[in-house]
Amino acid sequence: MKKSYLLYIQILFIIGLVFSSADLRAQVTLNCESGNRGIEQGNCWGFGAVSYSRRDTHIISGFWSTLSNQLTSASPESCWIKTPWMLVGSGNITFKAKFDGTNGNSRGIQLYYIPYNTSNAPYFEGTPVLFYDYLWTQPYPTGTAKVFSVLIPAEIANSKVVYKIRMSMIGSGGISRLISDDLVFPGTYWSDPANGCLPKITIKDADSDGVPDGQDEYPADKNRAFNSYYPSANSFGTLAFEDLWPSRGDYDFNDVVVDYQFKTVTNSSNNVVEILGKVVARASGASFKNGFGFQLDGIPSNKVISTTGNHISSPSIINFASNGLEASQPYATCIAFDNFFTLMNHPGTGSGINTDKTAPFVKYDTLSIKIAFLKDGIPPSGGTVAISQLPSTAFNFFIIANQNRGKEIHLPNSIPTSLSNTALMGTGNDDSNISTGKYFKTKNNLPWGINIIGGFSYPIEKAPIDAAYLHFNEWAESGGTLYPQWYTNEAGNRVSTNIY
Amino acid sequence: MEKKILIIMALATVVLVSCSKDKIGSIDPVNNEPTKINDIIVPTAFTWSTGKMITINVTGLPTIFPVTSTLVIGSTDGTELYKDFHDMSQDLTIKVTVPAIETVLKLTYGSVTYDVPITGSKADFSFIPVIQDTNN
Repeated sequence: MKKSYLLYIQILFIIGLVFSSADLRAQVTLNCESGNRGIEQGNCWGFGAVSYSRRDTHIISGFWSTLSNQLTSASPESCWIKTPWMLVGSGNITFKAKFDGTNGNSRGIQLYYIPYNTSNAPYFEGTPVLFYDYLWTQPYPTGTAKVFSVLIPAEIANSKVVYKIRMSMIGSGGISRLISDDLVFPGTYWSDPANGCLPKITIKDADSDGVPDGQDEYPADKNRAFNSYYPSANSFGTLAFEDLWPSRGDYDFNDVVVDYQFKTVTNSSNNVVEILGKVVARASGASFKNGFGFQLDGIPSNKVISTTGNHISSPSIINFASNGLEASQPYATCIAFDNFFTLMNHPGTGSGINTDKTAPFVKYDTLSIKIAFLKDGIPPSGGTVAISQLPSTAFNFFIIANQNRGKEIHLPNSIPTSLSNTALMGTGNDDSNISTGKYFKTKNNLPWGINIIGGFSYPIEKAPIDAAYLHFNEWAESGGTLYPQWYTNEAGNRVSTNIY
Repeated sequence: MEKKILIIMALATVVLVSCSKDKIGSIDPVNNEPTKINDIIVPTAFTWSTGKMITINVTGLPTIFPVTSTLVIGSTDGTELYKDFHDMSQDLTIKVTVPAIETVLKLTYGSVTYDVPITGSKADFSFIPVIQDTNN
């Protein structure tokens, strides 16, 4: 019984939407069967002191009708229903109305049309013009509703400019409320819910990709429309690794330090066109010749057309597929660089690069990596990748320790790639457990890599991070609750002598 | 007498060795402060990131006509994170990473911008306005 009732409601609601379709019937209608006035309001209807009711005695047709507040005001601004902007047609406006009680000194209905006024922001409504005024005589109907049919005034019929029509409910004395339903307004719906319910406007779309030029970041390129960012359009993230995994390191988190920012370009179908990554190599406080890369978790390698911009030694420990990704990987894996020391030169003194303040600074090296998923709008054999398949969590960063390809070190709880030597898992200080999804953490959950969003100055060589950042341990022990900005330069956060 | 001297020398050696051991073992050579990062115990679910991943659930509005426009997710300072071309009638789930201190996201659809509060790792938004009806 309940199922059929719900089905009936759904059918009525769908019928309501279909019959609202101005393209089909050139009518704007309100039958309340959505059961949620918010849906109509989202579609640009306006309600003043009017709600929906499903009480048996209130229903005129279907399962829902409108119900006014008590009509105790003669002002047409007190209680009303207002259409969206519409191109008014011709013929008659129709609706049904009755009351929930017979008391009250007077009760009436007025119809107004509201012109568009360009100088009256934010709603741009002009002065309402009354074109129909009806005053009930007692006794007010509470059983069968009165059917109204009101001719659209000639001055707005079939007009090429937009109007709203307002039904105002007025009265004095008593507590009776007006119930209405099945409101039909000849004309074409012309509001834009995406633009504050202002009248629809003709959009300019130079590349005809369906995205208005004002919203299109590539208005002259039909194959590109939008940019999304990780971590953001205005900031970089920093990855800081220890490289002795599975043994615990010295926790200075400077064995490999890289900044990153990824711009994901999508088209009007929300498919990824390309990823444009900036990878900034900053420091390597290590003797190991470490590499750095990332896997796009869940993105098959055959969905990538090409990968360019990485820095690879010759010869290299990495084997590449024809699309520039690492070969023999089921998921797209980009090796940004395979050896930090062929990317940035050692300054000649000190134990690493840019981790010893007494050694010369080596200029950072920025790689501009491009991973193409579509070429001229055409995907490779593997098909397209939707932006929803590529959230920030899909970027699975790792280093390759000392030219040992199987020795991948990932951020905590990130899965290793298929070329990782999983026999190392759970050895040394590592407490990884594939069956429980614990990866790259010690028994007490210490990591080999951290990911800092918003700018990070790493420790100098051999200075443990908690000797450089005084609230680091509290941040970690609290699960990130305490001192979430431990890495900033706020007073009391840092020991500057321990920071490069 | 010789025995006494031997005992004093032995005790002195023990004391000196002990002091020396203490110094080497407990003081960091760089900052001369004890550290304890090796000893901290961290919650299993901790991500070791200053960012947090937020799942944004967008509830669509049954529209009278197809309404499509650009949907932008940004942080409170106006920085853009995510953009797509969205049919207003469709539900959508978006995942973004924001600094852990963020409590609100900005959702812009077409020309209208909404503040969407972050609750835990979620942010829920509906194109259907929330209305409290008391008459029914």
